[in-house]
This record gives sequence, C-alpha cells and structure tokens, in this order.
Amino acid sequence: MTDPLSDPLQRALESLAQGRTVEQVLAAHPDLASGLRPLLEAALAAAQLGPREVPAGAMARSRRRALARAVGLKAASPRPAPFGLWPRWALAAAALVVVLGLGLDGMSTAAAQSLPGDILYPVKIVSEELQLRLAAQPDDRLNLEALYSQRRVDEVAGLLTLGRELPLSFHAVVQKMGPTLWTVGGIPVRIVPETRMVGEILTGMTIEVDGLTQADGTFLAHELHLESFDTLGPVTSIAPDEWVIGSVPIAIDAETWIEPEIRVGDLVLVRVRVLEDGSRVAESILLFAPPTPTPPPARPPWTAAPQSPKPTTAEATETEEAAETEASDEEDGTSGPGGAATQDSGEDEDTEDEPEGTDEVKDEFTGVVEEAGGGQWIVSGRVLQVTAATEIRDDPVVGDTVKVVAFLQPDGTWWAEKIERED
Amino acid sequence: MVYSTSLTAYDLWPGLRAGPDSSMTQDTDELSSLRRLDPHTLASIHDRYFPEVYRYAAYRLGDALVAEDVASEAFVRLLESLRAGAGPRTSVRSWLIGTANHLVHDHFRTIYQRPERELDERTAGENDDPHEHLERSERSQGLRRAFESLTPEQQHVLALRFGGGYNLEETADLMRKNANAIKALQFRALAALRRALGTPGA
Repeated sequence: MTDPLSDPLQRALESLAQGRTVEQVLAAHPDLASGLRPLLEAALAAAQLGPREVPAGAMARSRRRALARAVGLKAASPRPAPFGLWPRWALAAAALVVVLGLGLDGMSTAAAQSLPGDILYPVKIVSEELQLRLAAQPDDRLNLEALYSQRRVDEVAGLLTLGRELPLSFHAVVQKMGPTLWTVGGIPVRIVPETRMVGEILTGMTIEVDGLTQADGTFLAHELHLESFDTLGPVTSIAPDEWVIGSVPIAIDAETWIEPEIRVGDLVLVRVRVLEDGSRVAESILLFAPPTPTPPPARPPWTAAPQSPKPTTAEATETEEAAETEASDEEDGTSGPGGAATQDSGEDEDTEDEPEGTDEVKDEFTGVVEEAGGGQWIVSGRVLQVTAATEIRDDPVVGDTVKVVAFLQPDGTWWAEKIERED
Repeated sequence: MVYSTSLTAYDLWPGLRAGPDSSMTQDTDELSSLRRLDPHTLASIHDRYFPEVYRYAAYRLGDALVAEDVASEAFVRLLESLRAGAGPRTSVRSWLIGTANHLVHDHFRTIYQRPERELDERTAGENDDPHEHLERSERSQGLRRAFESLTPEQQHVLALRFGGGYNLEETADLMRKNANAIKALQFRALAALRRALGTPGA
C-alpha cells in the first residue's frame, strides 16, 4: 500500500525543513520531480493554514483559567470516601472491628440506613468497600458496583427529602433535560449558568453529577460529566482498533466485549464509555434484534408495584419528572451523537412499572411558576400537564406563587386540575 | 491556486523543528507535582505546551477563538484527569494533543448542522489593497475547504506536521503509529490536498 514516493517525499520535506527551496529540492531529484512537485506544492499550501503567532492574550487567559480550575479542584469538598487515604488492609480491619462491635444485625439496621453526614455513614462505606474486595467473581463485583451506585442516588434522594445541604456526587442516567432543571436518575438537578458540562450530554446518557443537595429539594449541579451512553446504528466498517457505527467512529480496545459474528451492515447496540480525555471507547457491541410485536410481560405476582412517595418537594419532583421523562421518551428522541438512537434498558423497565396502581393519586402543593403556557407548565420544578379542563385562576405568570391541585395519570404524568395564583 | 515554490518551509512553517526535544522526559518528573496541583508546575507546563496545543487546534479549526477554547479546555481536562487518578503517564504533550484532537472532533460534531462557519483569516492591514485582500481571503477559504475535505486522520497528520511543526518521529509518537505509517499517511494526505486544491493555477 505504501507509495514509492512516500520516502522521497519525506526526504524532500526534510530538505525543505533545512532551508532549501522547492526548486532546489526538485533539482536534486530530477527523476522524481514530476511526482514530487505537486506534493511539495501541497505541502507549502498546507504550511499556510496554520497561525503564524500564538496570541499572548489567549495564552494568558488560558493560564488563568487553568490555575483557577486547579484552585477549585484543590478546594473541592472530598467525596464520600472518608477513609480514602487509609491503606486497603486498614479499611478491611476497620470494617471488621465495626461489624464485630455492632454485630451484623446492628450494622444492617443502623449503618445501612445512614446517609452522608451521619455518624455511621463511614461504616456503611467501609462495609461496601469490604464487600467489593471480597467479591470473588467479576460479575459479582459489577453487580455490587451497580447496587452501590444506585445507593448513592437513593442517598441523594434521602438528603433532599430531609432538606440537608451537602456536597456530593452521583452517577445516573439523564432522563429529562429542561432549560433549568434536569432529571437524572430520578433526582431533580438544578442547572445554573455556572454549571459546567463536560461532554455532549443527551437524554439517556449516563453522567456523573457533582454538586450540592439543597433545602428546596433539588440538587444544584456544579459539574455534569458525560460517562457513557448507548448508541444504536448499522455497522459501517470494522477494523481491529475502530468500528464505525453509522457515521460515528468508536474505538475498540482489548476489553471491548463484541458479540460474535457481527458483520458490516448489521444493526448493533453499542455501549460507549467516554474517557477523561474525551475519547470514546466501546464497552460492548451487541447485535440488535428488531423488536417483535409481543405484549409486555406481566409483572410477576410476587413483585410489588413501585411506590410513588409523597409529599416532600424533592420526592414529588422526582416522581413527576421521571414520569414526565417516560411520557416524553419519544420526543426526547433518545438521540445520540451522529444521529444514532440511544436508550437505556433500565429506564425502560421503570417506564413499564410506573403507571401501575397510581390512578387517582392527588397532590396539592404551592410553588413558583417557572414555565407557563402551552400544554405543559413547570411549578417549582414539577412538570404539569395543562389542558382545556384545567382551571387557571387569576392569570398566574412566570415568577408567581401558585397553589396547584394535580392528579397522577395512568401514563405517569401529572395533570393539573387547578392552578391558582396566591397573593 | 499557486503557491510560490521559491519559499522555503521555514518561511511558512515557523513551528518546524529538525529533531525531537527532551520535553517528554521532563514530563515524568513534573507529573507528580502537577497531580498535587502545584501552581508553579501548572503554569510552567501550561506555558510550555499551550503554543503547541493552540497551533494544532487553530490549524485544525481555522478559527482563533474556538482554537483558544479548545487549547484551554485541554489543560483543564489535564488537571481533572490527573486529579481523578488518570491522565498522562509519561508524555504530557501527547496527552494534550490527543485531547485537543478529540475536542476538535466534538466541536465539528456540534456545528455539523451549521450551514456556514467563519473562517480564520489573517486580517487585512490598514493599508492593504482591498483586491489583494479579497484574493487572499478567497485563496484562504479555498485552502480551508480543501483541507476540510480530507479525512480526520489526514487532517490530524497535516496539523501535526505543518501546523505543529513536529518531525516524523514526534508525529509518529503523537499518533501512536510507526514512522513508516506516518510517511504513507502524510503522502496520502498531501496527495489528497493537492487533488482537492485542483490543478496548479486554477
């Protein structure tokens, strides 16, 4: 595949780099001049594309930004790993001592229920560390990691319910993206102009949320970091280190799990992990079977319907936002980079579960109108469906405090029966 | 489109260097200090590599403002990665250029649907002849369009060789390929650029 001119071209470029002109270089290789000339002309053209100087202002601004970020990182509150600096053996020993001291039952009932900021919370974390360490199989470890990741989300929900303010981070799937409020793993996440986004985040993607639980039941996001997403598309090309799905190239590494016998043209579902440097690596590539028109499986009789907890702001918001997300899955498009569709199977399961047993649930609350007009209002972060049957009193506008009466609908959304401005 | 062949590469290619430098070995010593977010180390590394990262980004993007953003973001990500226990193991430069490459990809993906984008042109001097300026502007835009018609990998190698001024071995290191592969890629990139520019004098 190597062209016979590629070596002479390199030597010619080196001669140019030593200060010779194109004519001088070509004169030294008369037999290759006709082939080299257009390439060297292209090289001279290519050399004109770059900037001659680096603006001093740009460099100064960038240095300031980097230094400011370093200060911010240094000042950032530690994550919930209170024994992060302890050696591994010390963690295990400490957990053992605590477990023995409290007894297993005491552990499970006290520490397991603890939240960040509680005295026993470090015990819970140490205990989890210990269990992860003792996991014999990779699958067991993965399952535990998923379980603990969900626990972190549940802890955030718990803190929001209690109205405690704490710096935390958690990992979850983006369910809904509004201008100022997102729903991530069921948590209402407040987006402010200072919120920093790392990566192109879309609905259905898994992100890390760094921020602060707030007394108003929302999680104030300092930083949202794209971690992984699913993308669906046809295999356009296959190479040892890179596959192209649709038009999107995705790197493959030694740990990528690829279903056997996938060929170009097959429709595949790819779980893509976004690395710290922004590069994207496929975690798994699975053949995607087109859905067959079978009815959804009935809920096994031994499983309970999911709860729709009330009445705190945080939980109410969480439930409604999740419901809203599920209701608008099609609108959200679950569209990933390159136009490929994205989805998260875990969320789909929730979608099926949510509406069951939730008819006729009524909620009354007071909040501030954040968005109004059309068929959808947002009041203190809660999304409400508004129809011609909704009774709207005293012409509330954005910023007004209103009293709302709403009913949970079979599809999981909340319909506002009455919205009344409060003076 | 004619480019004078009486010019040497040094006239047009100010970042060109003849051989590799020793900065990669320095990096290893500084990384541990950077992980501790030492401001002096950070400022030193930033000032050492910012021009390279900026030149690379500006070459790829043709937009000074976006290039500044990309170069700056690469340094922020360097800090965040190191803090998270990841980031470069040996070569800060390779990591920064690699990150800038990904950021450029992300940028183009973001603006994919934008019908037109501003091109970075050397601004006309106060005494420039307007016709000359227009001609130069058109030539610059034609060159930029030709460059953007290349594959991302071809753009990458030209940006490293002609924008960053890296020699063959350095480019091979940065692209994690061997020197022969870079020679072949460079040949294909220049041949493609020549084709995209059209026949000489056109």
